[in-house]
Amino acid sequence: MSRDRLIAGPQDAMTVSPSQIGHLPPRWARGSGRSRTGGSGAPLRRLAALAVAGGVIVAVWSFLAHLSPPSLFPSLPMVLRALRGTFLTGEVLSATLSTVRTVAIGSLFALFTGLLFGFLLRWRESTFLAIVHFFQTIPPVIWSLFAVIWFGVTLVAALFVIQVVCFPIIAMNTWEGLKNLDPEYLQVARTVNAKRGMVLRHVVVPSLTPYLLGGVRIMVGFAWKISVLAELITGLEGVGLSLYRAWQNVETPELLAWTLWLVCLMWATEYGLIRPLDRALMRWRRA
Amino acid sequence: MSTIALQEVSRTFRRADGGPLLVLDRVSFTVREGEFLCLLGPSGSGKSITLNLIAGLLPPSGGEILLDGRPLRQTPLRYGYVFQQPRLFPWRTVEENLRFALRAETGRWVQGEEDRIQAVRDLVNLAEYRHYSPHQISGGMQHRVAVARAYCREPALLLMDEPFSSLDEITARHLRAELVQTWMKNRVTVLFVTHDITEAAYLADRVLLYTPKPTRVAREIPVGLPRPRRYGSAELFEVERVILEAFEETRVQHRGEKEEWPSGP
Ligand SMILES: Nc1ncnc2c1ncn2[C@@H]1O[C@H](COP(=O)(O)OP(=O)(O)OP(=O)(O)O)[C@@H](O)[C@H]1O
Ligand SMILES: [Mg+2]
Repeated sequence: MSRDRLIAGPQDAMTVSPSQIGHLPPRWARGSGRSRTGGSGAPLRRLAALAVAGGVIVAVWSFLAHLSPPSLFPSLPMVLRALRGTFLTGEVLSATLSTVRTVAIGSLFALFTGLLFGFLLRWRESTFLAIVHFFQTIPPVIWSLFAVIWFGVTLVAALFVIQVVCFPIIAMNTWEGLKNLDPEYLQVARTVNAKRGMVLRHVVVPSLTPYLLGGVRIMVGFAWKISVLAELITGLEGVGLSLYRAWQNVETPELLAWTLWLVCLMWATEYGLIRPLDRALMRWRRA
Repeated sequence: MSTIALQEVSRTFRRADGGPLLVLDRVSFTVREGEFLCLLGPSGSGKSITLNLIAGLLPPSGGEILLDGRPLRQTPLRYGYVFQQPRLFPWRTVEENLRFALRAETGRWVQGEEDRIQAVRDLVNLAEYRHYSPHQISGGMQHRVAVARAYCREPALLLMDEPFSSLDEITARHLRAELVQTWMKNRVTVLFVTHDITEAAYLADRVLLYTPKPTRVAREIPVGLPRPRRYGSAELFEVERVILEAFEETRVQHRGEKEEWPSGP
């Protein structure tokens, strides 16, 4: 019973969101400037907010751990000890590297296909929207099952799942960005008789950038979860497989340790990759 | 160099309630080669629309626009367009915006690129701001960059939509003087939209006056003064008076007309 729940949980979460994603980036694009200046303007306040959030989590955790036996809900020190243990064996490093590789390659492919489909959507909306919707509505867990049948326990299987689940996110965002291209800038390009390549490079790509950044941010978040799910189902080495092993052996502290580690990795991509990228590419935005 | 002829050009738009909105009603006029023509008219009379039609950004609903006697579509026209809003690319610096205008056609470095950029930059007094983003400079400066962008391609035809109206009078005078000076040297064809009667009198060979919508050409006023003209001179005042009079006349005439179209905005 518990195994069913474990698999059903993430699947539900992942099928709901992609369909809503098409509408996310414009809102994000509008709000981002404000939130960024607010964040960098008061580093101390941000640190305090983080401390409070951390405190609340630790408190709730300790409370739950106090109520239940360690096999159901281990205490924080136990989890940290488990984390250190897995670090010492070197399993964390190899599993993480494997998952990171899957996420990176999968995201790059999905970015490329998504861009392609974004332009196709702009070109022939009804046809390609049906195709994108088709991929979007099939739950990732089902894609994972098929991936094992078609590709076996290979990296390709995991990449395939990331690809089919993530490319609609980028496609929808690209499409949205293309629909919102400012005709005034296109007119400027026409008055100077700009050729296609120049319009693409100097008008279309810069206009798409905020939409793509929004898409990439959401996509990478998904790629992590899907990569874990795919590893869990296909048995490919990575954080997902380690999670699964811990769960199978009823090593609850290890299970939580891996989960905690996964959260850290996702934070690291947000603050180490997405935000710096955003800042570098969107410098032109009015502060 | 180029002669532009509008022949019975009409343009309708869809009104918010779905009905047709006739903006230009069989407008005919010619911008002669090397002429400085000012287009004057009330707000909403279709001055910007006229420029967009000539620029080929908008098709006419009726009539024809001829360039040197041939339909506009068949002959590529090298023109510079200063829009009513600056329309600079916010993701590019001032200099990159200018460079885009130069490289747009080929995508590559253009012969004499640096000199041309420097020349227009100095002309509009923006040398210090070349590495700034549009949002880091004032609205007036953005307009000057837009003017520089149109100048730098050395076009045969300049379409200018109230390019100086948001500048302070000192800067505007400086740029008008520079425009006249440059124009006296290269004698490109200029179609210049303005609200400002003094500006029209100072710049134009001929002033074209639009009626309110549905727009026709109300009057053509030749300005025979030699250049450079002097602000505040008696001759210039006389020209202004004539324009103003014509302006008043059309306004009064069309006030009665407007009552026949109560649904018109
Ligand atoms: N895309 C459009 N759809 C509907 N109506 C339009 C459109 N573009 C312009 N119009 C109408 O055409 C009329 C003329 O517009 P235009 O911008 O040419 O005026 P203008 O003479 O340049 O005025 P101003 O001096 O205020 O700039 C306006 O009444 C406007 O409502
Ligand atoms: Mg206008």
